Amino acid sequence: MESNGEPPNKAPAVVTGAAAAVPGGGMDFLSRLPDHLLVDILLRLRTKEAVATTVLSRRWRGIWAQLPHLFFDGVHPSVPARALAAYEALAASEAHAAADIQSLAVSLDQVDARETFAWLSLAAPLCGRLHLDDSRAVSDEMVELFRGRRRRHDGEASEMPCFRRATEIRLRLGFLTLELPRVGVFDALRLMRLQNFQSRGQFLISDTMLPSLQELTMSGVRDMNVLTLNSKSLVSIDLSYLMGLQRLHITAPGLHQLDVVRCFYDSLKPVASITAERLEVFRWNGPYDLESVHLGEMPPDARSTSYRHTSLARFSDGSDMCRVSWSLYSSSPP
Amino acid sequence: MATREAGKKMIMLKSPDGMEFEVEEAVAMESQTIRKMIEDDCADTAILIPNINSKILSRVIEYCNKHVPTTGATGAAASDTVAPAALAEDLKIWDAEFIKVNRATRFDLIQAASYLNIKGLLDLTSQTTIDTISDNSLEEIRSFLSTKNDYLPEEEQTIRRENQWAFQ
Repeated sequence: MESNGEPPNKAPAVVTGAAAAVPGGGMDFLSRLPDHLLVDILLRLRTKEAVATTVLSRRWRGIWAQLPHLFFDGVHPSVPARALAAYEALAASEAHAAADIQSLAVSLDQVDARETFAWLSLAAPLCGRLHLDDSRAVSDEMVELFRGRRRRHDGEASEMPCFRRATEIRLRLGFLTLELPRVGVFDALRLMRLQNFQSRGQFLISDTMLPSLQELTMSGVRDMNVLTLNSKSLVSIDLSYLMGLQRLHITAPGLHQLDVVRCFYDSLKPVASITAERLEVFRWNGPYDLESVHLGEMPPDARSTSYRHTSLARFSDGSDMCRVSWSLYSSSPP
Repeated sequence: MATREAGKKMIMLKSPDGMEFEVEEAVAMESQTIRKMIEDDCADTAILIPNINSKILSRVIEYCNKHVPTTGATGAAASDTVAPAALAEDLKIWDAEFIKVNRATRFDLIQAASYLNIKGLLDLTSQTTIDTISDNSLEEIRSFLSTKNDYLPEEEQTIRRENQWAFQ
């Protein structure tokens, strides 16, 4: 039945197992290489091509399921789920160590919330580093909708699964709606970069959920009205184009660098409370209302701060626009 | 450390079939495996390389001789004046000639490169194999690699169906 869907010119090429004489009587040297060398060779292929080798012979059946790095380039959103399911099944049946994907990189050819969150759930327990890029699938129209801040029909909010083992997560979504899970701990996650997504209003990052997070980047976010970051581990925070932001609360005693660039689009009176005793580099570019922005406890020698660049500009509507950028230099000579 | 700067320290490599190859230490240290032995002082005057016969070992040494940084290499006096880009181009042409070997030799070289941990040689030998795999249909690959398809027809159909996306 499947063969009905095959292009007719492919049909004669299918060599059946029993009839497959070895052409030329040569020796199959490649198949004799140990698994780790075959894996090393397959790693040089796109994952799709590596998976196709599964049909060469039994020797090749489970080799691709030992690949530590998977890379799906421009595939349909349903492909990663199918591949991950096969990967797990093969890894289990070949009695290798449990499926272990050191890195998973995916770029999709279209935006599909249901399919995307389906494979994210499969990837969550397996994967060490995750990189998803939907940007090629984003149409100009979607960007316009994002810029225009018009509400687009949004599907059900999709909860990001808990990546317990992951050390790095980079998601560039096609303006899908994303929430962090209500329960679960991202024990190992050190770096999280979330771009181009829609929030459900409030967003909370805490030590409880992300005890190891050091580096956080969020960019191009719609409808995130209240952002609260309570973290002892965070070292660097980079926020840009958080379109609907009205309140920002940061308590991060270990924070060294904070960038807040072009957030607070709709807010005339942004409220920000930032407590970061060890802050060394601070860049703020956007509306800056000194009455409601508190920088909290600053470093004890903040008076020795060098202001590298500060400028105030008055908007046409009368609100202040401020660029603040400073780096803290130690008062003791180097 | 001081001896390496002299650039002339020689190392004896022995293949299991009894051949001995005297090579400059710098050349031998293109292999990370041998480098580690030397640095850990596990190497006396001769190092036995197991599992790599003299024919393959001599090819590997030939490769390392060509790829060792040119400062200490013999017969490369003029290379200092050659622009790096031209040098890289020269190496590429040399590599392309070097890898024109039969399949048995190529796969022996892959194993040798892996054991001796010579990244450039492993890249070269594996990439040549990959070019075969990615440019051809599976049937052509089977034919080229002399891979015997030992699936039953229905098994192969199942595998194709399960991984249909990979064949599109």
